[in-house]
Amino acid sequence: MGQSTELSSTRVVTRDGVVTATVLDRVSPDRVYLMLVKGSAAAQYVRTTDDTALVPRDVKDLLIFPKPE
Amino acid sequence: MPVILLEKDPFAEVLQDNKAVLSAGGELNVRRPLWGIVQKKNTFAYLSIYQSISGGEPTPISLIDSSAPGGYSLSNHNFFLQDVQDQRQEKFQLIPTFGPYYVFFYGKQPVILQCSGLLLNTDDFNWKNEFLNNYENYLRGTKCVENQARVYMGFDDVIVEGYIIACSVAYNKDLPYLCPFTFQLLVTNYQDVSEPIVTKAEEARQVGGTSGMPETSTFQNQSTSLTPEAQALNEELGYESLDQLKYVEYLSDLWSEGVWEVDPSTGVSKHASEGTGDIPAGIDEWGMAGRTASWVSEHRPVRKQWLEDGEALTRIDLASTQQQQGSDAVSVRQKMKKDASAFPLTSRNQASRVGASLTTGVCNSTIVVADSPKV
Repeated sequence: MGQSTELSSTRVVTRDGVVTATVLDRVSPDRVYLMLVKGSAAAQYVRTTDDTALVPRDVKDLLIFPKPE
Repeated sequence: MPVILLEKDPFAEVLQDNKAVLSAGGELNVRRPLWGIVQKKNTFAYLSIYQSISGGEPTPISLIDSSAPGGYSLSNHNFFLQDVQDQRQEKFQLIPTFGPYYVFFYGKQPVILQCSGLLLNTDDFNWKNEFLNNYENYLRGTKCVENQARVYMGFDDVIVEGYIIACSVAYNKDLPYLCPFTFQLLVTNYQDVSEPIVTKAEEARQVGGTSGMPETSTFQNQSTSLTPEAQALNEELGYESLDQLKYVEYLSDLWSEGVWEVDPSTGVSKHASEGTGDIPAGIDEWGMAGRTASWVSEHRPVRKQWLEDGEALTRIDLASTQQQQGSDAVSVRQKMKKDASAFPLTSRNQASRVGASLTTGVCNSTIVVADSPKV
């Protein structure tokens, strides 16, 4: 419980950066936090605004927690 | 169901929407040795030692040299220098932190030339023993420092100054008269003494008229009456007139881009000269000399280094399916062509937040997707 498996990871070079697409069978809150923190740090790094979208409901519904209830 | 996380690691300095940055120079001023090369003069490598006390005029120190009158010379050529490795490296510190890496630069690493060659080992060419004698008494670093001297080695069109820090000589039963040897020279100074005959396009090889060219051009004033083969080549390439300057070594248009120099007072690169004055005579102001090949046409898309939104989504789908299914790229592409809607990202609208994650800016996102399509 609480573990997720990385199914695949791909990096593509876009116009202004490198996008990493990671497919996970399940996500933990920590992994989502990491994504949010990365977005914020990256935006500060290049002195732009962070347009990271809110985590949608369907993703939140699939979040797993370290310990079962 | 699986979740895709799209996270962008942005470039600190954005290329901006300037395709010219990547295309600049890509198809301009491409020169190749289509009409042969001018060979350099043969040279013989040599070793010398010069002493300099208190920064005064350097004075030579003779080396044992059986090829010189009296058995001593100021430059010893008694070795075959066959291989020189000149490796340059920066001093830098790479810090891979939690995200993007940082790098700091601190100057150059010392350059050590790795030299190797052969020494004759016969009664009439006693080079092996001469070299070892010179090394023990003069060439090695400690002796140089004691004598306040440095070693000078000339080879090809280069003269290097420094200290020999190591050497080795090999004896081999299969080579009774030759001894392979190596030595390492710590470089303190490096001088390029080449004398190139082409330093700019105007000096490159031409066939045809000579109007407007500097008189010092080596290839200038070639015969205006061409051989049948050259005439046939002219016609094949579509030259209009023999009077027109023919830059026969160029595979693309010639275009003068002027000179951009870094202003030392501001550190900013500035255009230092006007471009129009540098265009060789015979080339019109648009740089067209009748030699445009199809690959430099404006109708072909500029080769770019990055993927657009749609291309990136397709690439992500392709790679993800390959990794998860363990299938090959061809099968996945065939499946994608047959039924794109089965793929989680390609089927989505580019205008959605999926596409936004790949456009300019930082816009990470998470998406729930169905399982990868079976291929």
